[in-house]
Amino acid sequence: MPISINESNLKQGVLGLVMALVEIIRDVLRTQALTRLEDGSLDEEEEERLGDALWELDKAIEEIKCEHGIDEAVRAVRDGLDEIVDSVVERILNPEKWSSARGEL
Amino acid sequence: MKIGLLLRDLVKEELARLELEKKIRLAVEAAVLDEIRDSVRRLAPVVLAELIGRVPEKAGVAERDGMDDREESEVAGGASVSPPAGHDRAGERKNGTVPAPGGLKENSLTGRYVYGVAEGDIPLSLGKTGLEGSEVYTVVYGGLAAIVHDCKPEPYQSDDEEVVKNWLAAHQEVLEAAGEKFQNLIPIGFDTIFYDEEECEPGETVRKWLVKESEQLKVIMDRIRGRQEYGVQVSWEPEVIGGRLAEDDPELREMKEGLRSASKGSAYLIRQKLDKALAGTIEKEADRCFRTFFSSISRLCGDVRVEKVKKPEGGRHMLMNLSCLVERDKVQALGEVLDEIERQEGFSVRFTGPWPPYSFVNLSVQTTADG
Repeated sequence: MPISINESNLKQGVLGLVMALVEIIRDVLRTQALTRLEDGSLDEEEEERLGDALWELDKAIEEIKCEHGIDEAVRAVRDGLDEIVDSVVERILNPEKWSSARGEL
Repeated sequence: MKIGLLLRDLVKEELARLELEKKIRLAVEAAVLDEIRDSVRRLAPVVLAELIGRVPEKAGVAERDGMDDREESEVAGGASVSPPAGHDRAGERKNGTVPAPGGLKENSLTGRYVYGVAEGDIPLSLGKTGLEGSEVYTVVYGGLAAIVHDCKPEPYQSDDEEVVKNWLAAHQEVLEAAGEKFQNLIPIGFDTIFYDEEECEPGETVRKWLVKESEQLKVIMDRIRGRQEYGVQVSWEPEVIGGRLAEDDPELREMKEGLRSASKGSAYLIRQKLDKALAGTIEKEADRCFRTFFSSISRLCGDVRVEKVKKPEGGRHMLMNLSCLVERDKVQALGEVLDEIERQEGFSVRFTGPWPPYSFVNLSVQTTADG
């Protein structure tokens, strides 16, 4: 499934793609932070610092998206990626379906 | 381009030297101009027709709103163009007469557009209720009745959404009307046309198909007998549900408490943790609801298909999207079950139908006679 980037507005497209990637990295960092929080490997000061940094990152991302009006573009890229991941997972979970679909091609 | 210009200038210079240019122009004016003018006049309407999408081959499209098209055709006729193929027929149809069979073969109504197949033995007419007002009637064989109209042996196609919408609506209406006449009706998809150019008598191709597929058709008939299709869509508002769940769950409540006293950085992390935990709880609840609802709904259905859920809309997420094949005397009970679901806070139900049982008819139709 191709990720469609609006060609008539390349800046939006590229910026949308970049911000989508930044968001995904943010999500990974956040997940990692929560894992660390739960297994108790952070002391209070570290916890505060980490949370603060993530909060700042959130704010910055929202500001940039708002400033350039790329909310839609970012969502489109992420939806596209989600669909790709979904179909990959689907193929892994249902190999028979995948091979029969390939047979039809 | 440059070479073209160069050549033109060369020719012009050469002609001027020979003082021929004027003579040639006069000759052209005298002999060829009328010819050219005629051609342009003849071509212009054709090109225009092409540009606005009323190609003569697509006469079926042009027939829909008779007035406009007729006027256009007449304009074209005035410019000494042979009228589009559909012109005569459009007029005839308006007058309600049967098209003359003398026309070109591909323009005569030798195809049979099939709406559906019912159980029945009596040939009958459903009037001019079909696509573009065509006469709908039944072709019967061996206890099966195909509901058809006569059409040209070419698919109904149009780029105009409005036209297609009208076709689909007519298709649906014919099925509805037929559903009142026949108890058991297998709907067939839009634009299914039977045609065989070697057909000896009208309707033969359809009858052959009824014979060939009779076993399959009867199996489907048994499945849908006395039943109708209904759509059931259950949506919920995760925010509302989540709020209730957060109140009920001691662990979530504790996290919420902690949020109040936390400093900025750790409050952020706690909120993320809370969101994640809540999402997990909501998902579990969704799973539980699906199972509960599904079992109480499917108990009342002859058959159920689980369809893909649609995208969330304004805070509402679709929890389940079912196509249900329901016996007539169980519809009310199903409605009551759905009412009960709807009464729960945060839930809403869409209950649509009765529909022709499209979702339960896995019929692959081969429309050519030799297939």
